[in-house]
Amino acid sequence: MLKIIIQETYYALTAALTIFIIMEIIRPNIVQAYLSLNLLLILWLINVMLLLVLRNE
Amino acid sequence: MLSSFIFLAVCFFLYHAVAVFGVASYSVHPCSQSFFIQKLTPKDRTTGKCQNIIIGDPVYFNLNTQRTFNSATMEITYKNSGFNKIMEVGILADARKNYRLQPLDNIILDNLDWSMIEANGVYLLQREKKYEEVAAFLNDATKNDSSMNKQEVLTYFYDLPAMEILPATMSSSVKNKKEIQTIENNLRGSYQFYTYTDNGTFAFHFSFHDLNINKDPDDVVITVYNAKGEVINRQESKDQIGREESRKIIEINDLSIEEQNLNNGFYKIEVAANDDIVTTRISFDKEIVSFINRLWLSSDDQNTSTTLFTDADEMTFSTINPQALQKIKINGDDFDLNQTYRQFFALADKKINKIELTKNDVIISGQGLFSFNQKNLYNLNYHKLSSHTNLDGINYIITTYKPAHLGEWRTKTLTFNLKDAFRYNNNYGFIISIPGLISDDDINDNIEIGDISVKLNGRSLWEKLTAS
Repeated sequence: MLKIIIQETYYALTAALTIFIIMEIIRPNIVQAYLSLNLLLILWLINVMLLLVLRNE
Repeated sequence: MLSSFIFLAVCFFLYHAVAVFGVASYSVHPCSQSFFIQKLTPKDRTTGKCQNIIIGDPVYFNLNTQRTFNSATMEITYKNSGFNKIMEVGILADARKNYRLQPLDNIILDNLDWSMIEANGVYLLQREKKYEEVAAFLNDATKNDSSMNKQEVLTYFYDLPAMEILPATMSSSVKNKKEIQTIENNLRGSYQFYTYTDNGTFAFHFSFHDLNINKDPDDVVITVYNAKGEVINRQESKDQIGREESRKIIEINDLSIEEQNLNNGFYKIEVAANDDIVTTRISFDKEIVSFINRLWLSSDDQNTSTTLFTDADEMTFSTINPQALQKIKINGDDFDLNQTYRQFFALADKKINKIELTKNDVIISGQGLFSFNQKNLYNLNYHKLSSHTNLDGINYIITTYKPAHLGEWRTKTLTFNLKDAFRYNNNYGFIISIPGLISDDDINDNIEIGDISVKLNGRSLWEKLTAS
C-alpha cells in the first residue's frame, strides 16, 4: 500500500515538476512567485529515494 | 486525484499571472518576505532586525508583477522619528532613473496653523486669510500684471504657471544686450537651463569632448522648449562609435542653436548626454542663463576655481574624484567635502547664495537654479517648499498635499499612474525620499516603515481581448 502511495506521488511530483519547469521557461516567475521549485525538487528527490529503497526490499 | 491538484495549481498560477479581472493586490509586513513587494535597498541605508528602518536618503524597492497595470494604490504605514520634515514616495519614470514623486508626509505643513481652503484637491494655506476661494488666488497668481509678489508664495507639489515674460523693472536691464558671453567651465553629462529673449532671437554655441570611459554610445541631443513645454528645436550629434572605453579624450562636433522670430519670453534648453560627454564651452548672446537643479563641474585641471550663484536653500555636493576633496565656501562659510562617493548636504539662508569651489569635478544639486554669474541668474518659477525653507516673508503656500494631524504611526495612501512608468524585468521601481536624512551623521533620526500594501488596477482579460 505504502509503495503504491509513494509510486503515485512520484508520478504526480514528476508531472508537476515538469509542467512547472516548462511554465517557468515560458514565463519566468509564474510559479516561483508562489511556490519554490527548489522545495518541489527536494520533495521529488526524497520521494525517488524512498521509492528506490522500497523497490529493493 | 493528484493530477487534479496539479491541474488546479496550473490554473491558480495562470489566473494570477493573467489577473483575469485586471486587479491584483499584494501586501508585506516589515519582517516577512514577499516576492512581489521587495525589501528596501541599499542595505547600508536601512537598519533594524527586519531592515525596515530608513536611516539614509533615498531608499528603493521594487514591485514585481507578472503583467502590466494602469494604476497602483499604495498604502504605507510609517513612523517618523520627528526630525524628518519631508517624506516623498515616487515611481521610476524612465531609464535615466528619473522618479515621479508624490508627497507622503510634510511636518512643516502639518504643524502650520495658517488658514486653509481647498478646491479639487488643491490646498491654499494663508498666513492671513485674504482669499475665500483657491480660484481667486490662482487668478491673481497667473496674471502677468498681477500685484501679487512672487516672493511671498511657495508651492509644494503644485505647479503654478511659470512667468512668461520678465517684469518691466527687470526687462530694462536685459534689453538689447548684444555682447557674447562664454562659460568656459567644463560641465559633465546632462544639464538644462533657462534663457530669456526680448528681441525674438538667441544663439547658443556648444563645444564638447568625449571622455570615452563608458561603453555606451555618447550621443548628444540639445532640445529647446518654449514656455509651454513645446519642443521648438532639436539638434543631435551622433557618436562615432569605435573608441568607447579607450579613455582617450576626443573632440566631437560642436552644436549650435540659433533661433529667430521667437516670441519674447523664457525658453528652456536641455543638453542630454551621458557622463562621458563634457561641455567645454558655451557661448551665448543672452543675459539670463540659469542652470536647473544640477550641475557636474568637470575639469581636466581639477585646481581651477569656480564661483556659482544659486537661489536653492538646500544643496548637495558629491564627488567621485579624491583629488576634488576640498573646503567649499558657501556665503563665505567653510563646508567640508571630505569623502568620495558620498552626498554632503548643505544649507544656505540667503535669497542668492554664493558657492566658491577651489577644485572642480564636483556634482552640485539643489531645488533651484545655478549660474556662473549673478547677472545670469533669474528664477521664473515660484519657489518650492523644501525641508529647510525659511517661511519668513511667505504668506501663501499652495499644494496638493493634505495637511493632517495624525499619531506617531501614520498610514497614508498614494495613487500612482503606471501607464507611463518605466518597467524592467517585470518590476516597477519605487523610491522613498527623505531629504536631509543622512545615514552617518550625528543625528539619531529615522523613518520606520510598517506594512506596505498595493492594489493594482488594469485592463481585464476580456477588455484586452475585445480591444485587440
